[in-house]
Amino acid sequence: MVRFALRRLGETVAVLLGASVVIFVVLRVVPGDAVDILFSDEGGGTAEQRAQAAKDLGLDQPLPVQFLSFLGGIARADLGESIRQRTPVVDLLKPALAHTIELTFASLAIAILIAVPIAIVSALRQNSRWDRGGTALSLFGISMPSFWQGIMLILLFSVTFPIFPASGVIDANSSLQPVTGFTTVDAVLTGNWAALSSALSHLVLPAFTLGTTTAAMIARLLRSSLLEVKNLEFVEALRARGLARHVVIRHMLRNALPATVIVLGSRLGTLLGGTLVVEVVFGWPGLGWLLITSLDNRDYPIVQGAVLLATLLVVLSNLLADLIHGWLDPRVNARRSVKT
Amino acid sequence: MNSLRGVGRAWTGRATLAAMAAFSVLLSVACAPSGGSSGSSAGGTITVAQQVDAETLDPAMHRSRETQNVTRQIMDGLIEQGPDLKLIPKLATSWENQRPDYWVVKLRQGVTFTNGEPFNADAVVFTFKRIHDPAQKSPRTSLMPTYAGVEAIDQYTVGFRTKEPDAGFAAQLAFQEIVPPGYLKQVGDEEFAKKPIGTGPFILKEWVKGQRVVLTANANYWGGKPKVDQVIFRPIPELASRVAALKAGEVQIITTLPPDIARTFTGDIKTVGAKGTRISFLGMNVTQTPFSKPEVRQAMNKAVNQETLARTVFDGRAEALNQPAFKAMDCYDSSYQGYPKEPAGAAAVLGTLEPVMLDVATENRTFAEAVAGQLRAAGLRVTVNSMEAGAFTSKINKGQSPFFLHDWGFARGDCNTVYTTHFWSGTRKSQVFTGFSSPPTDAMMQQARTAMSSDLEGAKGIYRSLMRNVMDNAPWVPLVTPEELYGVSSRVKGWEPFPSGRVDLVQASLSGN
Repeated sequence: MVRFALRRLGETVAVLLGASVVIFVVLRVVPGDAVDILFSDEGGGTAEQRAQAAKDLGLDQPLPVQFLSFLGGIARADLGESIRQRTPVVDLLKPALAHTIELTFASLAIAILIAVPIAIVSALRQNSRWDRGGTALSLFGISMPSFWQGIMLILLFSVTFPIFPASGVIDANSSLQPVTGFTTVDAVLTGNWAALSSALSHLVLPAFTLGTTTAAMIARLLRSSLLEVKNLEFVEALRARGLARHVVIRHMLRNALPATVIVLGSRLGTLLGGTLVVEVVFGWPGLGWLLITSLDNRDYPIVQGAVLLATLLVVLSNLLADLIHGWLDPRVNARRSVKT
Repeated sequence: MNSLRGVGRAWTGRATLAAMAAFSVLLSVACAPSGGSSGSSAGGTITVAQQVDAETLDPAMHRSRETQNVTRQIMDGLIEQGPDLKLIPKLATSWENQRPDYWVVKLRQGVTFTNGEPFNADAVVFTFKRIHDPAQKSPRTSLMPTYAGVEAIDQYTVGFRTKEPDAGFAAQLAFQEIVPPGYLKQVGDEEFAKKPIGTGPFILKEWVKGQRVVLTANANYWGGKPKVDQVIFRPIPELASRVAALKAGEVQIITTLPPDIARTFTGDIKTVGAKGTRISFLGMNVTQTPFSKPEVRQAMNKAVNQETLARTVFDGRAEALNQPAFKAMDCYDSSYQGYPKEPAGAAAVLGTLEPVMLDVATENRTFAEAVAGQLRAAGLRVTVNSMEAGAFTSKINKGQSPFFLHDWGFARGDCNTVYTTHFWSGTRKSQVFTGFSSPPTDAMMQQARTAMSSDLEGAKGIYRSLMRNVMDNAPWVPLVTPEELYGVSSRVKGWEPFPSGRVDLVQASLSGN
């Protein structure tokens, strides 16, 4: 297990290096640069002023020099300074990452809460009205663009029935002392229940929007796995021994979950992609939002840092899914041991 | 199998109940009162939603209107640009162009920064020297292109030197806030950018990046205490979400409102507009076919009907332009009639041309489609090519776009900026745009700049000749100046938007508090 984890970490470094090359090159190849955008309004800029700005921002250096400086920075955990905000990129990424992780986990929780009951009901009562209803709901969930869904939820639950806030992370007057950067965790740690209530109410709509697509996917996968398991002999054997119904279901789930977990792990990358849209719609200051606004300004250091961090998150989530898979299904670890 | 169905049924009930219980717990926690969301004191809180957050709170280190909207609450400028673009005294009480290249500015006495530090000539000198210090790497130097230096004449008088005679220099001072030298040196640049103080109407309470800037009223403000107790700026990037937040009462003012949304506002929210300072135009690259021929560019001017565009695309909330200036500009020529609107006549020229592509940044696509519609009616075969704003900017900067629709801000309202930025040979090297410049227009620009400080009427005359020359050469089809539109809660009283897009909240109050 340890050797497996170490090998995966080695692969992670290679993936990150590859990603850093790709993002560096892509950013420089796409038309438009930071100086163009800085002087794209009021006052414009003469050739001298533009050259000075490029020099000030370090953009006058040859590309290989810029790239080596970027790589050297990464080695020192220094991702540079934002072109527009004049702030170390690491200081901008930290809170954004916390917000994105919080949103992602909340959406996963909502997804599981919705998907597992639907999957179980659909699988156990195959071809019934419940099953057809659940399948139709899943199809709807997968097909619905999160942008549209987000706006509709805001219109319904913030404007027509003002239950949840339309945007933001927490009420402006909550005066929450930051501890970990995770709003809900900080609220619990500091015992600020008003802030916790505000943070949760702000979390519901974006997490629901992000969670429904994943819920639909989990429901479909888990339903298929449960259908396979349902017809295996051990289920009949358990039932024949007179075990309680919920115990039988638990055993079925134990056998059906590993495949779903693996897919969930790979879905985390897609979930992160989904945050790009959801964070912008809900004014959620996470990685996705930071990335979008920084791309608009061609703020290279932030974009590079955010993409690297997102890559790292995807790789780590896949690794985590592998490890959980092994924990849920001991046969996997046995196979790995034989291979290594 | 039947027994499994039974298992399923039992689970159906349990799972549903469990899910409902969990969701109701979540709801009950989430819907509990979140504590003082509308501000606790009598004056209340006005929340303003902008598209983006402030980039920094150091007024020397940004080129962003949204950032200035925040810094201007905390710090004052020497001069303010009023709703009619006329200059209003703020920390300066008067200003005089004593010599063609020298300005004397008298300062307000008895004003202190919120830490008790006195506001005086040293603060002004420090502020401007800091911006123009190469080591500071301020992106704002190009907004003061003629600045040559500043000096304290006495405790409450400063002198500004300009590189050349510049009668419009005072307007440049309206876009820069004054910082406290003692405090800034004490805390350093980095800390000041996060926690600035100033002489302004509001004091920074908290800035949580990406979430909110909270400002409280400065009870000792030299201009009188603001009527509201608290102002909050929140970034909400998505337009639909900004509108929803306004409708839900979470925010009271939203910026950057397009006219098609503005017309839908009724009841508790209204649209408030200020005459804008942006000029939108069709740019034609005079070095590329088919626009290298003046008769083609002139025909384009005859084909476009700006009045119709202002009425339809902008719902009447735009000023139609027949010259590269809007009415509030110092050199606007009301006697100029512009090109006659003769699409049929234009068709004789435009109908013979090869198909062309109209480049435009994505956010202006709808407008470009409407303009293209008029051009098609005049025989031009044109398709709209919309692209990401950064890519578009790069393309027109390099002179790679033969034909484009663009808009540019002229918040100072002086014609010198229009001509220098778009029609002067000196700036065509770095920002090619249409590629148009000529020795006669260059000479007229120089004459006008020189004349502005000694003979204002003479200078205006030169600008009018210059405008006619440019319109005859026709590198542009001037289109419209759209109003700056805001969505505002009807609870907000006494608030008036500025043409430059600045949000001034000193006089604003909130009913129902």
